[in-house]
Amino acid sequence: MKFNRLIFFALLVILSFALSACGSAPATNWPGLATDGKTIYLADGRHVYSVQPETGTDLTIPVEGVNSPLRFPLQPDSKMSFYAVPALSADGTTLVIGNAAPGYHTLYAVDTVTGSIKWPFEGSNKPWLGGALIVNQTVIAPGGDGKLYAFDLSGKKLWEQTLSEHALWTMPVSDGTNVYVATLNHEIFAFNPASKEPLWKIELDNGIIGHPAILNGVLYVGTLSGNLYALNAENGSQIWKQTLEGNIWGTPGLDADGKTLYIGTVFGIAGKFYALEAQSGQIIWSKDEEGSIIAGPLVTADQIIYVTELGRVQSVDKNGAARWLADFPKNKIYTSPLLVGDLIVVAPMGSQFMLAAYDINGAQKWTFTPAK
Amino acid sequence: MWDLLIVNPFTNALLLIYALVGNFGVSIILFTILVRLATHPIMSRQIKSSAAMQELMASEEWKKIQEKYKNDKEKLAQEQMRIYQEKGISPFGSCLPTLIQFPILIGFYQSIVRAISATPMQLIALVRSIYPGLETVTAKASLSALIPIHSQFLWMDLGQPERVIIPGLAFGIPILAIIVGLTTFVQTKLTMVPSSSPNDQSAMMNQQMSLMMPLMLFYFALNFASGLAVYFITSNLVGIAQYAALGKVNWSNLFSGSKSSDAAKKSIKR
Repeated sequence: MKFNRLIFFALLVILSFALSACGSAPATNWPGLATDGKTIYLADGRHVYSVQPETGTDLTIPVEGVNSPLRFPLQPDSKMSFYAVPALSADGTTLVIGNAAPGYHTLYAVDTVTGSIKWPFEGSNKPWLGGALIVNQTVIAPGGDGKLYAFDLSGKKLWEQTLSEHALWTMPVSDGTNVYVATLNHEIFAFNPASKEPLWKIELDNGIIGHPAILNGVLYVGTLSGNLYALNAENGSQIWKQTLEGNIWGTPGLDADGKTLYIGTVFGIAGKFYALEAQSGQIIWSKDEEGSIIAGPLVTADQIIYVTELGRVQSVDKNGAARWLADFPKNKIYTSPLLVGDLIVVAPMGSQFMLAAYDINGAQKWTFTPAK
Repeated sequence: MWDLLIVNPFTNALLLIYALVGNFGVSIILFTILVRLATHPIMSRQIKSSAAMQELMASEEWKKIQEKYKNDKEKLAQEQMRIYQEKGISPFGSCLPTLIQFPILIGFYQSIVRAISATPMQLIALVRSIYPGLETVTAKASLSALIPIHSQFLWMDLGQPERVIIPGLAFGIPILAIIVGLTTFVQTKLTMVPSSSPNDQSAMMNQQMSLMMPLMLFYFALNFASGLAVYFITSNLVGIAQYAALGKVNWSNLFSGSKSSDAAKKSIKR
């Protein structure tokens, strides 16, 4: 009987560990990455880190006479976790990001100089995973409760509008006047930030994860069905639709002249990278990849950089010919590469460092590991 | 391999039911009932095995060897094994079925978490685990029809731990976790096999189990996705119904205390 008793308690312990390890409440996501050109902001779990692009080290501030890393929060707090793309004000002094920790659903506006909280918003009851946008002194924040919130820069709530029963995960985008928000519930909404009433909304064929790209009055957006759409930003009408192989998770990248569009897909565990004519949606070329392409590409003047789930950073020229690559075979990359000055910054997950920076020829310049 | 054999089939079954009924909470309840029915033969065997074990331990022969070899553990073990063989009872008969149910419980929880997909990263795993043939059963089970899964059920979001906010209270009340604790306690009490032996160790174990299990499941329901709590509650209620159908429910345990618990108390005092 003692044996049975031992087995019983052993099973309880095993069950506790198994359930705790297999998807408990603290949900994780890929890191959020943003820059104002002077500082790189990385939201990756417990902190939003401030990284100096010149050196790949923490920005520091004096705390009680000692130079300490500038991050939010300054000290780790088990009630906070951050994964959204940080939103930055035009002057770079305010950063807005929501808390993704279960049970603690605050949106924070943070002073980027001191790391202190300018204002919190506690009116939502779900985790924040979608990045906010600051446009014309208005903060537009997609909530985990399916509501879109608008605040002024002092934290005063201007309006809220329910867009979906599901959490809003997609960052809003703006053409400088209006704001466009895509949802997992297959819809895209257009707003004037001054009003909570949508200018228009349209329904597409499947969920949308990557935010739309916008150029010259056209929205380009992909769905989980693998359909890529060009939509008139004025009224949401469809200009063209192209079906690609696999699901589209990222945001399309556009040439500066707006002639070519680039996007990767998820095809099982593999992927495919496409270049398309922005005007017609015709496929110009495509390239198979061993790893899925979740994140949107980075398009520079003469190269396109995309990342794969198998930890590859691949640079190609405009004809699809490989230029350089970097591999993190033990890691996964889901975050879009970021251009900071002449540096290309990537955020591999599960690596001993959180960021790696390359020059335009693919030479690694630094890696970032947070100071303790 | 774990995903292939356990989590993916569970996830697809859950999604198929969701596609048919259109409510994720109801699909968890229905799937739990199906899983309980599918494992009914195992459970039935466990109940019979437990009862046989209790009967054996209450027998004079068993008590005699306990007394006779109380200072010789090795001999006692040999004698116990001899009696097990003679009576055709497996000492693991009541443990092995529980062991078999554990992967089902863990796999089921993982499939709930996967189906709810609280983050884009979890959604990747969900999209990859949906069988291409699922939409041939019903068009409502296509990827575009399934996504997003609406995880709202009654007052709760099944992907989040549940709390009911009452105005004026600084904290939320975990109603579902309390119901999980209560139903687990009731189920454990109702399904406890009475022991006639006052110094029976199984009575002590039952007593501990009737407190440990409700507390442990309360803790899980408090901290994990509330979809798991819905599973626990449904599973407890179906479990009581299964025991009742087999005529093994001891209603007297619930209100007046059981012989086993009395025995355990006496035993602990000693």
